[in-house]
Amino acid sequence: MDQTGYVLLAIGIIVLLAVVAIVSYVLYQKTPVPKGCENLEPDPGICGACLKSGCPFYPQYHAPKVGADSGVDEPKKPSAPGDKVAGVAPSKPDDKGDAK
Amino acid sequence: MFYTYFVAFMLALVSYTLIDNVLLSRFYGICSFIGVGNKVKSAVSMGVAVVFVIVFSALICYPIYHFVLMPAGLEFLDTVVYILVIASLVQIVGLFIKKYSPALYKSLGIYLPLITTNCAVLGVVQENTFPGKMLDFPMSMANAFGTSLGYLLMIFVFACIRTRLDTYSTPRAFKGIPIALLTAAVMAMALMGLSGIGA
Repeated sequence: MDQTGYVLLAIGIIVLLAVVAIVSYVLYQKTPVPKGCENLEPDPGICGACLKSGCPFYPQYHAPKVGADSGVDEPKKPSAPGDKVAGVAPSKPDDKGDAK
Repeated sequence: MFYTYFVAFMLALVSYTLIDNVLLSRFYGICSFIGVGNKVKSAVSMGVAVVFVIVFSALICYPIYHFVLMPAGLEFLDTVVYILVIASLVQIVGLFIKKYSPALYKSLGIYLPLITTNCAVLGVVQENTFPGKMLDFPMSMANAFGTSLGYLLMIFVFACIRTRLDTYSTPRAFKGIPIALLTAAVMAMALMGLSGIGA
């Protein structure tokens, strides 16, 4: 076989592979999901380290999580005006926090 | 002659499995190693799927490169061909799992697309046909078998260790991924102790 024949064969194989990839993808999508697996979601504890932006779960699990296991204790917002909050400076000089 | 070649094959197999381990020495496929290596069942399922895809993609890609792309002078298209082969194989594996093994699909289904982007698969196939370091067919199969077995072994051991680590009280700063990375580092150092075997 001459060079042209090999080139044509290579192009044919590449096209064939592309067709196989597309057909298998379509078949995979069309195959019904087994019972009980309709709403599979990855466990954030398992998927937390993946940094692949191409991963279908990337946006879901790499959105900024406020105060979620960041290693820093975030100050809690007071629920009532009288509540004391850790890490917040006293508003008045004579406010010493808990006296006891 | 056969004996010498067999010894070389076995040494290559051991080397690719343990000493030049794909995860802890060559650092391919770390994403799935950390991501899935948290539960033993998921890790083993992932490992078996990766073994299948690596071995079959090496088996298919080697003849395509040597008997089609090289004679045609189209070696630069190798990555395109490899990716098409790997993507097709992953879809076919996923199709069979989805159709015939719901239990396996439940534990692995969401991670199946990640095998396509697992650089260990593409890395092995590329290494087999790397210009200047091209392996012959038996050695390329030793590379594929050894690498995939090494992947399976390490992800299994890693998952076992992490499962046990979950039961211990770890300092907060080390919980989760940090302690997992430290574990991987210790495992890598343990494997370094095997270097020199067969030299």
